[in-house]
Amino acid sequence: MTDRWYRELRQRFRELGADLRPHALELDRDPEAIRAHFDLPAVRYLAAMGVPAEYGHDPEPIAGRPCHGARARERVVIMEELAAADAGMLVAAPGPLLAGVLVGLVADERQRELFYGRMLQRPLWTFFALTEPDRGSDAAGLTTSLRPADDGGYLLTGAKRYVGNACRAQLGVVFARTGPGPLGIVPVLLETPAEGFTAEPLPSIGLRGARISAIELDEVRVPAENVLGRHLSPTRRGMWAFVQTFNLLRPGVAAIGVGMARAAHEYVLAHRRAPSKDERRRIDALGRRIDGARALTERAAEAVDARTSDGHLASAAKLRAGNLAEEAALLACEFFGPAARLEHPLLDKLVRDAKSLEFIEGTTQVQQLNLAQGLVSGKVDGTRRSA
Amino acid sequence: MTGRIRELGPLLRGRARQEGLVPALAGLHAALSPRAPHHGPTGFAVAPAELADGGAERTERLPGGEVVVLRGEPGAEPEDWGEAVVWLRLGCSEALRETAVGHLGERVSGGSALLHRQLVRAQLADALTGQLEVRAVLDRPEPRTAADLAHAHDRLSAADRGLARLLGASGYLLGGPGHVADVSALLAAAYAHPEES
Ligand SMILES: Cc1cc2nc3c(=O)[nH]c(=O)nc-3n(C[C@H](O)[C@H](O)[C@H](O)COP(=O)(O)OP(=O)(O)OC[C@H]3O[C@@H](n4cnc5c(N)ncnc54)[C@H](O)[C@@H]3O)c2cc1C
Repeated sequence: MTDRWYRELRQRFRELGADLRPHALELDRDPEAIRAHFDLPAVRYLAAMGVPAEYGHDPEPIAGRPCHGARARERVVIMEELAAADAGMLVAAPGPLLAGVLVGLVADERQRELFYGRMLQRPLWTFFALTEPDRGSDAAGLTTSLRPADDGGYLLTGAKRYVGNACRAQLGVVFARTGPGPLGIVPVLLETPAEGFTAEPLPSIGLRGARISAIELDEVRVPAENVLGRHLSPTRRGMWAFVQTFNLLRPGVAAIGVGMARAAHEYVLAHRRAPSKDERRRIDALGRRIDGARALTERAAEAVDARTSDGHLASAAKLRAGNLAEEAALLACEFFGPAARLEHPLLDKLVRDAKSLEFIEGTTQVQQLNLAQGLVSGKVDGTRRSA
Repeated sequence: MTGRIRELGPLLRGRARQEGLVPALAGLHAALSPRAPHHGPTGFAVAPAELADGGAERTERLPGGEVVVLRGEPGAEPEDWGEAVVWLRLGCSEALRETAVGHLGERVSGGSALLHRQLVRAQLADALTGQLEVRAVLDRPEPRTAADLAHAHDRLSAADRGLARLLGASGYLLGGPGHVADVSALLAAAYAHPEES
């Protein structure tokens, strides 16, 4: 794709994003309000984003080409633009997102058809359940178990926490363990409602559209054919699969950070009348930081599209953009006096929403460790150092 | 420091630290604005719900009670109010630090407690430095200006953000310690003085 095409893509999603903004505060009060907005073109697009063409996904062309949203480089443009409009609406929208990327990586033909086919029938939410109450960053230590059942299928038992959209999803991926160690981890496809499955929303400080949930799994039956990647070797499905999925998606999370930072910046530009010279300088400096984070994010997306295992740039982008979103929201407040958060509900929401990025797809410390590991293992610029 | 804040400040800090933000805020009002919520220089008040007479802009449900944000006309500042709010927030921030240390001590990752990770310790140390700085500013014998207090609020807000992060996503839930920290930041918003320009 050419730079010109990406500019057109950006322009198109900027237009679509304009319809999201008016619902930002409504959704913050009631995360289920998204149900009234399935007809918005941006929400409709997200409901099928990432579904490949061969499963019948036929999105409206942009500058003569359809954009399936299956590449990280496309997604970073789309996510930035929609997050700049409202990140809450973006994450509230139904669609295949994380689960869809994993399915693309490890599902067999039948599983793909099942998953993608259902995405195209009507908008439905999916979830991607990895985090456990006692295991967040340390996902490799997960304990949810998948045991063989008498009927040749499996039984899933355990608990997951903070899983986006799980309380309203119809389809999702759960990571569980069939044995010890990293090779004992497998993802399974789960349809809900299912007996033994419960998911309750957890009220959050911000980004309420994400509807993070606590899941209980009490001997939930999983047919053998719903075990993802069972046609692959164990080294290519469990840990490997979620690391690659995160690598592919992390630039998109970084892009949400860039978009949120831009929302804060644009709010200042629109509402701070007659800024002083010093204020102008500070506003411009924030703009340059946003540009820098965007450049890094786009580069990270290109890197993972070329090779899914090259995720260190994605960590750098997520580190930079995630923290920038929070800083930008706080900096924006400074232009409106100490009571900014009380007087400007959108700024207050941005401050609360931006805090979420610290946790999504790995915290600051986790990205720092990933990045340093990338450096010492020689991935960053090809010069291997002794660790 | 006037005689009164010398006693009231540490009292509010202790109450915030041991009992929580809501009881400490009730104590602050009882001591300095017993009849009605005090509206700060920007016209906002943050008060325990019992003290308010309806008309809340927002309501925050915290452990130990509800806090409301009210909008009105700026009130005449009771003496010591600004400094008392900083003491109160310092206590809240210290309580958050204790919660974080407890949480990280129990949470195991890769075979050892998170509290033993150096990156975690660095973030803890950063927050602690901010709290110690605020304590040092409050203890200085000369009177504190509005700018001193605004600076102290900034340091506490930054410390709280770092500490809430250390709780992982549990620090991002309503009704939990991260929510208390967020409401503590609203106290600064209501009662810090706008910069003179
Ligand atoms: C809005 C939102 C949406 C989410 N969506 C999903 C989802 O869809 N699916 C899902 O599975 N999960 C989801 N999560 C959960 C998220 O992935 C976890 O919160 C994250 O992995 C961190 O885990 P934790 O909260 O348990 O924190 P912990 O891992 O307990 O971390 C606590 C602190 O310790 C630090 N730390 C942890 N390990 C180390 C280490 N080895 N070295 C140094 N420091 C360390 C962390 O940086 C953090 O500061 C979501 C969270 C949020 C807030």
